[in-house]
Amino acid sequence: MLEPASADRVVPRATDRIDGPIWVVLGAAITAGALRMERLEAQGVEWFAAPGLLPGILGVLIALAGVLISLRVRRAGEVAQPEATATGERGRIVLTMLLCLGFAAGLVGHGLPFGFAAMLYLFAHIGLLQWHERRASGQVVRGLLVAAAVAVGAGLAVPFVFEQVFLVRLP
Amino acid sequence: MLDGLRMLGHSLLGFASIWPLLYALSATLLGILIGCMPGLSATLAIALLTTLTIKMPPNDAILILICAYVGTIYGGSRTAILLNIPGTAANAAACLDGHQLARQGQAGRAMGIATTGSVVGSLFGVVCLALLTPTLGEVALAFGAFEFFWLALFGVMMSGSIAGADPLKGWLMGFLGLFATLIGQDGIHAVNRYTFGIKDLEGGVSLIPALIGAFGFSEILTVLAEPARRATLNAVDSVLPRIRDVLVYWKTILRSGVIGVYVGILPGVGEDMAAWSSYAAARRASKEKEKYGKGSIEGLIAAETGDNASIPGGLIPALALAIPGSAPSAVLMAAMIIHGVQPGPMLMVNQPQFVYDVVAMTLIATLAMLFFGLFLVKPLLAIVRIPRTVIMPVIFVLCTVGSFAIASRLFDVYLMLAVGVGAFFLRRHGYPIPPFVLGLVLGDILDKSLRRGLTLSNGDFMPFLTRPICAVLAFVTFFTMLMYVPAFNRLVHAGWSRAKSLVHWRVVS
Repeated sequence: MLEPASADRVVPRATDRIDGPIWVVLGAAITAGALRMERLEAQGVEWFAAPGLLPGILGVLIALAGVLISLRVRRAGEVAQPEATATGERGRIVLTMLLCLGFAAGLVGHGLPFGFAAMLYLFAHIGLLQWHERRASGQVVRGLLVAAAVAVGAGLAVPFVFEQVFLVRLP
Repeated sequence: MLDGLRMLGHSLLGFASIWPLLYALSATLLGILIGCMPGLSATLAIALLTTLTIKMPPNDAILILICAYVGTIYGGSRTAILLNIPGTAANAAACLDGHQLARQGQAGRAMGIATTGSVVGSLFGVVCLALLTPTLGEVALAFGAFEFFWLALFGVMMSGSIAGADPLKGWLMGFLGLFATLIGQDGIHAVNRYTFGIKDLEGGVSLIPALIGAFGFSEILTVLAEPARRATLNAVDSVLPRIRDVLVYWKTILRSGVIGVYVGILPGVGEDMAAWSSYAAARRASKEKEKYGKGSIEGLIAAETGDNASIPGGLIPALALAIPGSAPSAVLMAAMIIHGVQPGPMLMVNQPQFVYDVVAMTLIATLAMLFFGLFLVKPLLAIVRIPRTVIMPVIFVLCTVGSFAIASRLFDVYLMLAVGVGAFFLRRHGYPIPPFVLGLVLGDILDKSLRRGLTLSNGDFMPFLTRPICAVLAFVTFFTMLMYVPAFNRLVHAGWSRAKSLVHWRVVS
């Protein structure tokens, strides 16, 4: 408990310049929502038992934290710049996000059997993730076959294990 | 004491049959495999297995979850030693000396040491779990709304202080987690809060899908953002631990066990902090400080003893107070509630046998870990060779199933996606996730305790500060937070130095 304060050694990040105001706006919105919430006075509920009490306090605390983050980065002599992104990192993030969201929000629960939807997603995701490496080593067909094998295997095994063995309903 | 031994014996006999033993071995093995794979955490493993075991009898389901928990924390030491990549955050400390030993051609010896440390730490934690849970439960019967308010707040603030490098961001994540749990119908007056007319939100933010998003989907995004790399493994020598290694460092083992259990009991502080605290304490007390970071047997044994001792340690407040000691124990608590067990002070009154069942389960998990750790090292390492580009998409399919399976709602899948994307970007901006998780778990307790307490005191906040236990908890909470304010910290250090020099002067004179 008597260790030197971490606050002394915390170097603010450049992204804090954007994050700080966002937290202030979010905190203010939460507090505003709490103030507009029903207070149930007609039912004899006192202010300290109102449903908006804790949300209101939390909204103020979040906004206050946002103010402190903004002040800290403004006063700091140096800020930690974002780490240099590895080659293709942004592309991989976008690819993964699109495929995952496309599977879970687009395919699942919209008519396709779960196992088939999982096969399509796994084949696409594994194939695309390994594409550059396989092409560089001249193993594109092998890569697609591996993706297909994993997709079919998992697409059959997951529904079987969950639905037949453990009796858990799938979407 | 005798009653406790009798109940423990009854629990052990209850598990001494084919199916529980098969479940224990399978779950521990699965946990070790998951722990070997960097990017997959114990929290995610338990969350996914919770959905898989939802239709099983409670004792079988909780046995599987505890065995998987123990296995995952242990399994991460494999890749930490062989690849210098911790399988879970708890094994980061093992990388420092474990991998150095592997580079010196002593990978097997290092893994034997890690196994020994893990088993001994876990056994020590089991003894503490059996002794302390009933005691803490009895003490907690005196707790009221006022005390639970401070316990919940203390847990969130402590987690925010210690998780991550920036306490301010940690506390902010704690506040965010507390707020997220308030979304939905209020538990006292059934008023809709922040639902914006969306029917699915009236049930609130479901814990398991949110955890799967925070620890599963966000981790998948993080891992797949990195370029692919192939693991190359060093040759592995004998993994049987040498008795001499254990006997020489018995003080370190005992110290690390105590630290591990203590850190485990602290709300919101996980196995990684237990490992680092044990490692740091061992280094400070060591006569071989220069070996640390270069292949110190003592350092490795301290880290692995500490992190495994914290597993039963984290279960103590979860069972006795319904305040989880770590993120995995938070999921375990949620699983217990799903299976009809209500953790908290009344557990020792209503279901005392269950506490000893958990002790027995942790003991069985420890023995299963020892078995696999000694006899199945090389086959287990094959899992490390599977590329992340294959494993992670399959894990995402399981995350989707896991999110849906709890309540059979597609909304929970969408919740998992939203929390996952949010957690991914927050982590990249330096915001730690464990305080958010703890806020999610403790938000309901905090809200109800605050409003009930104020109702009991008719709006007067003084009982929150003047009741004895409340005063202590409030002091510790505020003191911990204020220590991160530089001016206050300097003041306290100056006062402490002056007090130490006064005591020294008196002793000398």
